[in-house]
Amino acid sequence: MIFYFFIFLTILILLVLQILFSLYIFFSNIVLEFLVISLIYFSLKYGSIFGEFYGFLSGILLDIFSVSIFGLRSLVLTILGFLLGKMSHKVDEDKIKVQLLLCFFVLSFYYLFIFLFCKIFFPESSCWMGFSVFLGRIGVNCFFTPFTFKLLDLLTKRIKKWSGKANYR
Amino acid sequence: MKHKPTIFLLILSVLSIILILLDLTEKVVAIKNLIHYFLSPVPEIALRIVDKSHLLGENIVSFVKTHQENQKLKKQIEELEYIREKYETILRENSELREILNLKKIFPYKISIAKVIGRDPNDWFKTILVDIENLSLAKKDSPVLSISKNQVCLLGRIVEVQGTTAKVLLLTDALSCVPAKVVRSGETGVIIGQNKSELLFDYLLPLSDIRIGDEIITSGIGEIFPEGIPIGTVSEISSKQNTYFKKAIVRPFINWNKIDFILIVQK
Repeated sequence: MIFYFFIFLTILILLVLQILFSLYIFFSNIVLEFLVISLIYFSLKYGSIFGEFYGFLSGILLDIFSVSIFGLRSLVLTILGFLLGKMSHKVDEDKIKVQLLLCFFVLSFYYLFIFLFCKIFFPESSCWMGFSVFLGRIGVNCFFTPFTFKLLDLLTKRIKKWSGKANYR
Repeated sequence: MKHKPTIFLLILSVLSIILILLDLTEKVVAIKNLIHYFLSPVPEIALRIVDKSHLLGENIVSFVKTHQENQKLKKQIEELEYIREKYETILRENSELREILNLKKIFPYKISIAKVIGRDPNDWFKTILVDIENLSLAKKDSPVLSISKNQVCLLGRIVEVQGTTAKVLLLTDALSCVPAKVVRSGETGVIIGQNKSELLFDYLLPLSDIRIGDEIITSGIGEIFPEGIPIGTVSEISSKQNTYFKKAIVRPFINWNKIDFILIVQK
């Protein structure tokens, strides 16, 4: 239970970081998708069910703090959590190449899914950011993925240690 | 339970689609707002921290700048203080020199101005050293005068000339003896130094007419001091009856702690 509480706390921290980075550090609509990167990490580590719930929860939170279609991000991240969970224990997520490739494909799917969904069901809304921003976002996120993975790795180990101790008591 | 992930996927996806479809209904908006209400403090706190950190950075920069400015201003104040002191000294010296020049015009003797360059704290009332460079008038036993309150008064005499400096024996030195008289009655005596700020007026006859407050000037007896140079005023008269000579204490006109320039009289 404590472990899941810490995971929820991690989602909140990453959400805050994502908002802060997009507000103060990055420019030209470049957003660091910490929640998507963490979804890749957690789905690969803990499988589909964990990934789905993690994706759904983080998606809902992103939807709450955004002005776009409510529920759209939760849908796409749930699907991504499921798909990534399928790859759990099949790919070596510790390799940087794998991390970069996964980040590239996941973000491409994420952005394109949102774009296509908007285009089909809500044609009046403008969900496309432009090709250069699209590539820029993916590039920047790919650059930060190994660091985020490393950070999450350390954090998860620490959380497991704490929660383990707490359960023991 | 092999299809468990797929079932969850379907459930969560359907839930998400419901949320999308119900997007504009009041209930969804209310739920969204409720969750936003509970979670919004988190990013707000973080944003505040970031804002504060900006302020902190600005404050540090401002503090460093203020410190640098403070140091600079302190240095400027020190420089200005030094200039002010220097200015005041020059102003005072200028005023003294003006006084001397004015007196020089009306004084019946030929005089030259010299600057005091040394005074021994252990022999404060004995001697002073003066700079006599370019002064051909300064010779041994030349009378030395000073100015106090716009008045010329006797200071002593030159006892030693060495190159560009001369040693002046002050009136207050125990070795100093100056023939003097009372202005009012003309009674004569000798002013003797006591190694302190006051002088002793000695060798007055027991019935001499002398009172407290009488002005004492040089009598002109002897070859050293010309007649009529003010010395001081009588401040105390000895009351001993069975003595050969009457004695009085004379308070000199000179301000002993304000001797910057002196006048050397050509004999």
